[in-house]
Amino acid sequence: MSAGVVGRGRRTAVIGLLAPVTVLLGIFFLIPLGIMLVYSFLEPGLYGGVVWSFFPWNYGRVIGWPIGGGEEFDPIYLTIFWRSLKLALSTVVVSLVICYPVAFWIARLKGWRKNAVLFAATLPFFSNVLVLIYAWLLILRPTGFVNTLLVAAGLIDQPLNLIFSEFSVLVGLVFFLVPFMLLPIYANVERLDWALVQASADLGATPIQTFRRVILPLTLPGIVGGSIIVFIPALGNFVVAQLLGGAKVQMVGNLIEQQFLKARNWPFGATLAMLMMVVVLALVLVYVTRTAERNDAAKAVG
Amino acid sequence: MTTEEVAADQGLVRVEAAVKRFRTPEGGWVTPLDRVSLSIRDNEFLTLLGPSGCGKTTLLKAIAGFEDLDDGEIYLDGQPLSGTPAYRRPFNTVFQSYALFPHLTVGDNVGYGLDVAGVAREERDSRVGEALRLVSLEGLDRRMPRQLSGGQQQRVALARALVNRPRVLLLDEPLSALDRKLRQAMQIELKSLQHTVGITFLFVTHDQEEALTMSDRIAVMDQGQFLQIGSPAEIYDAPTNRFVASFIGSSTVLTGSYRGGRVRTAGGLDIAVGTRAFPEGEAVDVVVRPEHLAIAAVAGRPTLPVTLDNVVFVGSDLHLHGRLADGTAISALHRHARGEGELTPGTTLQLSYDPAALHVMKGSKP
Repeated sequence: MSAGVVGRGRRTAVIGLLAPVTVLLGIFFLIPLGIMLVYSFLEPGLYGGVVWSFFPWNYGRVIGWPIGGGEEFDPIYLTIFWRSLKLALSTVVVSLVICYPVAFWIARLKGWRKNAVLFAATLPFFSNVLVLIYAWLLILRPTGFVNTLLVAAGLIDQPLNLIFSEFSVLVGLVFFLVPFMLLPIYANVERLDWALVQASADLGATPIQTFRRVILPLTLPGIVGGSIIVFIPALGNFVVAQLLGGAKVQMVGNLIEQQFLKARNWPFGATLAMLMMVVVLALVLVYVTRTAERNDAAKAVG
Repeated sequence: MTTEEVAADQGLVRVEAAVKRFRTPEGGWVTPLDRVSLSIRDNEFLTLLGPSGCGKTTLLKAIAGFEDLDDGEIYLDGQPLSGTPAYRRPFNTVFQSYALFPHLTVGDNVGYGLDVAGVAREERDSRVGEALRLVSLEGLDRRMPRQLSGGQQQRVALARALVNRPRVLLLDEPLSALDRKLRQAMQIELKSLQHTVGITFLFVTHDQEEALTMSDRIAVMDQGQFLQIGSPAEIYDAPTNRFVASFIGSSTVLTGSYRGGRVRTAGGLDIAVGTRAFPEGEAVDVVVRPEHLAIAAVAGRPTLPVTLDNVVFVGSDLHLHGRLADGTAISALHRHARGEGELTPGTTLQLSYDPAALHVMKGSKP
């Protein structure tokens, strides 16, 4: 009986604590999202603005269905979606490959060195994104640092065409988002109990077996968390593609930005934003459930 | 000693002049292993006993393969082990923190060593079941470690190590996290388990009671060296130096010089001792344990005057704490009986003792 009383008190406390954030999210997230959803089904006005009539054809322009209302399907949008996905996934993979070993290295540092490296890893947060990305333009351009160095070393005759390519956009995205991957993985690796690694070796597991059976499953939450919070901004990013991709490498973010700010076609911009959100939600959902399943399977197999 | 001579030795595992040094953050050196040698016999329960920081855990880790020696060698069946990584050594460890894999069930924790060794499913399952039965945890194999009590986790750690049938089971203070009652129960269980499985146990502890209860032999360590290696009774009754005498059990060590069956202490006491094995004038230490002193006067026995400081009642016994004429603290044990008179602090008692019971050893530098 007393347990029930405690339980009820605790439930009230939980509701009370969750209320502010729920209201905040409701006002500043759900309402704008609702507006975008409604807008994506409206007809664009001739000189910007919207005409209040049901107009599902915006979606047809991107995915080929439904077609009508004078809008036509253009495969260019799917191409841009596909490229954005590829770039975002590559960003996740590259930052993961960089951050995973680095996280272990940092976790094993002692005293002030650890804090210094962690501080250095968060340094990009202190400076303007535009400046950081622009710096890469200077580094990668034909007369920039990398090409000058390679030519001087005699490794190449002609400067490589490094900027305004998918490569340069990937470099920019990784550079911009790497801290978001590092911190969750580091937090996880830091908590990893090294006695477990020792126990695994003690029980006869080779270093590779220890990694697969102990280290990887125990740091998986950090990997999943880091991947998600890198993937989402990478997919929606438009600043990096704008500066380092030029006119050639456009991402969905650029498309959406153009529709809202240049073409002044809010309904079509909203449509693209909605489609991107669907893609993100679907992929994240699949990813999370799959890793959870694999973790369960690993548990079952041992 | 050459390799052949080592192989000829009876030891299953032999530690030969092992040295390990660490640099302290202040720039100095600590030497947890200072040329220690030890022979571990087949099927014995050997305990490394010493205060924290004495080097016992370092030695255990060196045998397990987690620490490289700076000098010396460890042999298994006469074969040197340096260069063999931990995962290729036929030893298993029960860790102080248990180090159970939190993402695996109890059954998978116990089966871990068999799984990485590629043991076939059927044999693996039957051996896991057998190991869990051995530690009385049958039926819990689907639980996660966090759902178990401390004592149960301890048993899982034990089963996980034993299931691999190691040549030596290394136990790194495995009972220190348990409460007193459970610890005492586990001490007895561990000892009988060792008999059942017939595996050599190397047990590390700082708890002398634990060591005395379980061991076939005890190796007392301090400051990176062995002070005495022997059976519990040898170590308790005949310590070879002051450190062992005061670390194992409670005792008062009186320093003095030997003269004709008596020891005259620095504080002016004159104590009769049973031994005649020392030359006249030799500097000696006399070990007086609480159970050597009795309140009741016994005809023909010498006495020591002790001024009582306090009396502690612990049920079956009274612990009398007091001091000798020269101010040295000393304790006596008195079997409590109903209706006996009060012992008041401040009074001076004449406590009788049997000279033959007192242990006399060669004097160590104070």
